[in-house]
Amino acid sequence: MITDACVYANDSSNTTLRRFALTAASCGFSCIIACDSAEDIPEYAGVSILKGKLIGRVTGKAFLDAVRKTPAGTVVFVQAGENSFNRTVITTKGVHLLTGIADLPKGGFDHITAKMAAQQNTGVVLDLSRIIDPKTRRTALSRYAEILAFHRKFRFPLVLASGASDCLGQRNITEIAALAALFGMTKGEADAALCAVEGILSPKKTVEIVEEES
Amino acid sequence: MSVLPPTLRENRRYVLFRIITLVNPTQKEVYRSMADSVSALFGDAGAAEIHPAVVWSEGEYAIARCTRGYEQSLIAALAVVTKVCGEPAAFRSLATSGTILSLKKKVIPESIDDTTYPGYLCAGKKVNNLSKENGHRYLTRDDIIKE
Repeated sequence: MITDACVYANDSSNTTLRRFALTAASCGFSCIIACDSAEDIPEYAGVSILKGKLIGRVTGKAFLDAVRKTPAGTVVFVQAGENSFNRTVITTKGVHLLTGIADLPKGGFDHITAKMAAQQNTGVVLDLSRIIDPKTRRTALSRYAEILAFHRKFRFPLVLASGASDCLGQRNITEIAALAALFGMTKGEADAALCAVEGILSPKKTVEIVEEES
Repeated sequence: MSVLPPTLRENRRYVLFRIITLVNPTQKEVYRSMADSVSALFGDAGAAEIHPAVVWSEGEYAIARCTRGYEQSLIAALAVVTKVCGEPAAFRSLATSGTILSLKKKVIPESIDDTTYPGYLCAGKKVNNLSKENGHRYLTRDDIIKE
């Protein structure tokens, strides 16, 4: 399932959720995750829409409460912070994705955090809107190259997202692969990153019941 | 400078893309936006290697040219374009080919559902298009029926 891991279809956006889905369908996606969306539409134009919740950099009890209060079936994103906070986030049950990597200081995501992300099957979101924006482009490209090096070593799930706040910010699969190539990601890795959400939401079990005897 | 024989000419590739914006930009304005983003991403040396140009533009479709082997770079440069003539825009790459003719065949005639229309949000009050509160909204037909 090719997924655009994050679009911001909130009230401040000038694009409706249906329009996001329609554009995603024309861009070749089969699923989108709508962060903090007011509307609740499960599917439109053949694109399934998952609800997402973005939790900011809140520490301690407030963070745990925010994760606990999230309704079932919602994809939980957490804004990355300093290294110790990121480790707490990754090990917390119910957190699916770590986002905002481009804003981190150098060394904000180290090899230990990467190893923990691989063990806990927590994904790291590479927001392509940071590459599109010329102000954040240089930082984003260098951070994403670092994250990619960690991903190649520790094999934690890497997820590509358009991070669009309107339909003009959405990009098609070819463009996403071309943008990902800017920081050294191969076509195969980009394809795997576009399909990685499915593996995070429903991870493969060690033992799986294929058929039950009646 | 005399024209080079075909065997000595550089090989080129062409990229068809769709211009999504509310204004109707000219070919020159499309080229300026593309050239700016190529220079911003790859620098002047990279731009000289890519050799970008807009060779055809009609309505919301345009064809860009680049040196063979740099198609991926050109697509990335097109993807980072966010403005044309000062208006928000997106250049959506559709196909790559070795000839302009084959790309022109891929241009899809407009259908009503594909076209973007400007819409305005108003809460049952008198509509004033000059007011800043009435910003652009991107909707679908179903949204209009629902509202």
